[in-house]
Amino acid sequence: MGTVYKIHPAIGIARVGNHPSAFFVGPESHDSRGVEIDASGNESAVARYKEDGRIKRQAARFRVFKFHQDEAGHLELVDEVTADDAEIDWRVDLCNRKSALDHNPAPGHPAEARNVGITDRDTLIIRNNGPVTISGRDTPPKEFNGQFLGKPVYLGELRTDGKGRLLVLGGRGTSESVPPAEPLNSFANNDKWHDDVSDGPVTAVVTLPGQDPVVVHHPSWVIVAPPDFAPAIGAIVTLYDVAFQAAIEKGALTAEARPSFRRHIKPLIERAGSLRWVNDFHRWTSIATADMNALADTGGANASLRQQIAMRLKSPGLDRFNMPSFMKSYLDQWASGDFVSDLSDADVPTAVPDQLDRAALEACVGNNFYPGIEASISLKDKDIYARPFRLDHTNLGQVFPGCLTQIMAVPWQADFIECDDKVWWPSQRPDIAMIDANDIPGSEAGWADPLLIMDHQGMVEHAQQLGFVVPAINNAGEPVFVEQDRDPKFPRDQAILVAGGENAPVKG
Amino acid sequence: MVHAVDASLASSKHTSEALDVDAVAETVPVLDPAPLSAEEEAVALLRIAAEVEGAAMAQYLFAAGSLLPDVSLAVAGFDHPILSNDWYDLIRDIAKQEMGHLITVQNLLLSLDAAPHLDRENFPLESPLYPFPFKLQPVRLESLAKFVCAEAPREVPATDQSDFAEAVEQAKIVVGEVSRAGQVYERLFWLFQDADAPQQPWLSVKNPFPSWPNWHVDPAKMAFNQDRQAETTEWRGSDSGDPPDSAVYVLQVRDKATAREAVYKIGLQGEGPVGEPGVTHFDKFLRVYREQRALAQHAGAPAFARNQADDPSVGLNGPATITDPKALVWAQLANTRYQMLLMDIALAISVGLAGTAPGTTATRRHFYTWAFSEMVGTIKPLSAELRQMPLILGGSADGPLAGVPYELPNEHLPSNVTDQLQYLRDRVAESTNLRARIASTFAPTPKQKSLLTQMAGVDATIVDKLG
Repeated sequence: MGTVYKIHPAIGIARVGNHPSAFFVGPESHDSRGVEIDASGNESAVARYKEDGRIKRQAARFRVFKFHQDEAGHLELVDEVTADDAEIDWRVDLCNRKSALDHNPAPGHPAEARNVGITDRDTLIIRNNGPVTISGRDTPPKEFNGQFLGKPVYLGELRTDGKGRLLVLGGRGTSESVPPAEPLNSFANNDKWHDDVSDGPVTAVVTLPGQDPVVVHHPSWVIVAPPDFAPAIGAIVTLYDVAFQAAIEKGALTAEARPSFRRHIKPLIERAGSLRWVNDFHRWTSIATADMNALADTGGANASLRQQIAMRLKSPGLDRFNMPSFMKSYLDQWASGDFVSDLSDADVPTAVPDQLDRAALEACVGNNFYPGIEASISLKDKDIYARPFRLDHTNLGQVFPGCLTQIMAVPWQADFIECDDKVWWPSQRPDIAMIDANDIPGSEAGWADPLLIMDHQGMVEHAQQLGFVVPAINNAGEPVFVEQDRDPKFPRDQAILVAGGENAPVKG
Repeated sequence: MVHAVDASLASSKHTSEALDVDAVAETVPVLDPAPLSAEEEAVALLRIAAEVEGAAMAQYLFAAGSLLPDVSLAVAGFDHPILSNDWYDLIRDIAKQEMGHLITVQNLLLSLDAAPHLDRENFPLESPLYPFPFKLQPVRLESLAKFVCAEAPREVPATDQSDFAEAVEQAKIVVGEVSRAGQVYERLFWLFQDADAPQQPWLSVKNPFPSWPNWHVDPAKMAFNQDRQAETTEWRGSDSGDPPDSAVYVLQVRDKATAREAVYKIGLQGEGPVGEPGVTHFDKFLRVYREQRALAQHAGAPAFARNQADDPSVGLNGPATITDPKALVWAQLANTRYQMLLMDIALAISVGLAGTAPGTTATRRHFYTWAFSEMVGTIKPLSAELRQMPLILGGSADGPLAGVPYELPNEHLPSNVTDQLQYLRDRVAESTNLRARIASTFAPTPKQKSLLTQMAGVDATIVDKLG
C-alpha cells in the first residue's frame, strides 16, 4: 500500500564523556561494544574508552530505513536510506528538565519536586532555543546549548557520518550548581544543581531526488546517559527486557510458548555470571562457571541445577530488583524442563533495524529503577509506547523532550556514589574491579576507592578519573575482566576528606 | 538506666498475671524501678527495645557474615534448592531492617523528650524482656533456633507449630528460654493507645497492664524534638507506605497516632504479634532453620558456614579469645569502628536540622554520612577480612576463624553531646594508632591497604570537623 520510513534504533543511547572530541558509536549489534570512525570514515571496534585520560563520549547513531507496507499493514524491509539515495534532514530536540521536576513521581520513588522555591520554572529547563537540525555527509558538529538559572550549559551536538546517518553526542559530564558550592544532600534530589544528560525526539525528513519531502513515519528518541564503566558486562534485566514486557502488556508482542535456551536463557546466565567482575567475585562463581551443555539439556538429571540457577536469577540479591514477568515465566519453564534445547543451533539472522533497536537497549540497565541509571521507570509504562520499543510521540502528556530523564537523580554522580552492601547496577557502575589480570581475585579493589559512600561531591569531581572494566586475556590464556585507564593522578591509596568545610560540605 | 527484671523481682505496681498467650510461656515482665507514669514506662521500654534491636543487628550481621558464598544443594522435600546466597541476603536484609527499627526507636524516644539510647544490654539480667543473652554465633541450627524464637509472633500459625516447638527446644540447649522481642512492642503500642479500647492499626493487642486502667501516654507529653528526629531519606529508609517485606522503616513520630504507626510497622516486620505470612522475620528465620535442619540430615552436604568461633573477643571485658596477633589488632580496629558507628548515630539524632554540634563545624549530615561510611565502607569489609583470619596463634585457615567482635566497653556509652563528641575523637585516635600498627607490622594486602585508606579518609574528615 505504500512506503513507510522508520528511524532505528527506536531508542538510541548516547553517553556523556569529558574528552573534547573523541567519541565512539554505541553498540549496534549483540556482539559489538561499538565502533570508532577515523578521519577517512573507516570504522573499527572501539578499543579503549578513554583517550588522553578523558572519557570518550558514546554517540547514538540513527539511520533511516524504508519499508513496504502491504494492504494488511505488514511492513517489509526494503533497505536503508542513506545520503547516497536521498537528502536526509535530521531534527533533534534534547532537553534536561530534571531540576524543574514539579511533582513526586510515585509512592516510594526517590525523586521529589525540585527547586520548589524558584517560580520561573523555565530557568530550570536546559534546552536549546529550538530543535537542532543537520543534514549531509560528515557534517561538522551543530551544538545544543541551553541555560540553567542563567548559566550556559552545553548539552551535546549533532554530526553526520559519511553515509549521512545521524550521530547524537551528549554533554561532557559536567555537573555543577548555580551558584557554585550548593550542598549535595541527597542521592536523588539536589536543588540548584544540574547535569548534562538529556533526552528528546529524533525525527527526519527524507527527500528522494525529484520527489516531495516525506517526514519519517516512525520517529525515534535519544537518551543521553552517564558513562557505562563496564561496557561489556550486561545487567540481568536490561531496558530491552523492560520494553519487551511493556510491549506484551500492550498486546503488541507475545512471549514465546517455550523459551529457547540459546536465545532466552543463556544470555541471561552469561550476563549474571559476568557480574563477578564488577560485584562480589565469589558470589557469582557457580553461575559464571556453569556448564552450558548441562543447562541446555532438558533431562531430569540437570533439573536441580536448572532450578538452582533459575532461583538465583530471579532473586539475585540486587537492591529493589524487579524481573519482568515474561522473563520469570521463561525461567520457570526452563527450570521445569519445558524449553527448546537449541544450544548448538545456528543464529537466525536478525534484520538490521531490529538489531539496532535491541543492541541499544540491551546495553542499559532495567533491574531496578530507584531511580535508575540510563532511563527511568517510565519505560515500564506501556502507554508511552506507540509500538514495540518506540515511544508514542503523539502522547504529549507523557512523551515530551526530557521526559525519560526528568525523574533521574540530579546530578547523576550523586546516585552513582551510593553503592551498598547489596548492589544496584554494577554492570554500569562497578562495585569492584580487578587490577591485575594475572592475580584474580587477589587484585580485587573497590572500583570507586578512595571515594566514600555518600561522598556525592567526590564523585562529581572524580567520576571521570575512574577506570573502565574491560575484557582481557591473562597469561594463562583465560578470559578475564580488568580495570583500564584509571587516572593515576587519583590513586586508591590516598585518603581524601569526605568534607571540605562549608563550601564543600559532606554529601549525604 | 532502667533494667528489666523478672516478674518475681517486681517491686510494686504491676501484677504478674499471665498473659493469655503462647507457647513461649511468657510471664509479665515488669520494670525496676517501677515507672511512675505511662511516659516513664514507655521510655524504659523503648530503651530496652533499642538495646534489643542493637544487639539483634550485630548478631544477625555476624551470622550472615559466617556464610560461605555461592554454596547450594538440592534436598529432597524442598521445592527449591537451598542456597547460601539466599540465606545471606535474607539475614542481611533482616539486620538492615533492625537498623531501621533502631533508628525509629530513637525517634520514639526523642518524641518523649528522652535521650537517644544506643547502648546494648550491658548487664544482662534474667529478664523476659530480653530475648536471649548477647552471643555472636555463626549460622547453625541452634543459633537459627534462638533467632526463630526471638522473632516469634504471639500466636504461631498451626502449620509452623511443630517446627517452632522443636526450635524452642533447640534454643533451650544453648541459651535457655527465649523470650519474644515482640512483647516490648505490644506494651508500647498499648501505651500509645488513646484509651483501653482496641485501636487501629493493631486491634489484636491485649491489655498488658490489666491492673492499670488507662495506662496510656499523655498526648501533651509527646511530640518533642521534631527537628532532631531522624529523617527517612537520611538513613536511606522506607516510609510507612512501603511493603514490610523489603522496607527499612525509618519513621518519624509527631504524635500518638504516628507513634502507634511506628510501633505497628516494626511489629509487621517481625517483632510484634502481627505479620504477613512469608515476610516476617519469624517466617524467614524459620525457613532458614528448616533448610539448615535438612542440610544437617543430608549425608555429604557441603558446609554453608565457615568455621567461625563464637563470640570472638579482644579482651575488652575479659580474656581475649582472639590470640592471633594479626587478627587481634584487626578485631580491635573493628570494635573501634563499631563504637564510632554507634556514636555517629547518637550524634546524628542529637543535632537538630540546623546548626552544628557544639564546639565543632559538624552538622547532623556529617554524622549520618559517617555512620554510613562505617556500616558499608568499614565494618562490612572488616568482617570480610576477619572471617578469613585464624582466631588463635598458630591457627589455620580451616578455623576456628575470627570475626568482628562487636564489643562495647562495660561502662555505658556517653549520653550527652559533649561526651559523645569526645568519645568519637578518642575512637579516631585509637583507630589511627591501630591502622598504623597494622600498616607497620602486618603487611596488609592491597585490598586491606585500600580499606585502611578508606578509614583514614573518614578519620581525617572527623578530625577536620570536630577538631
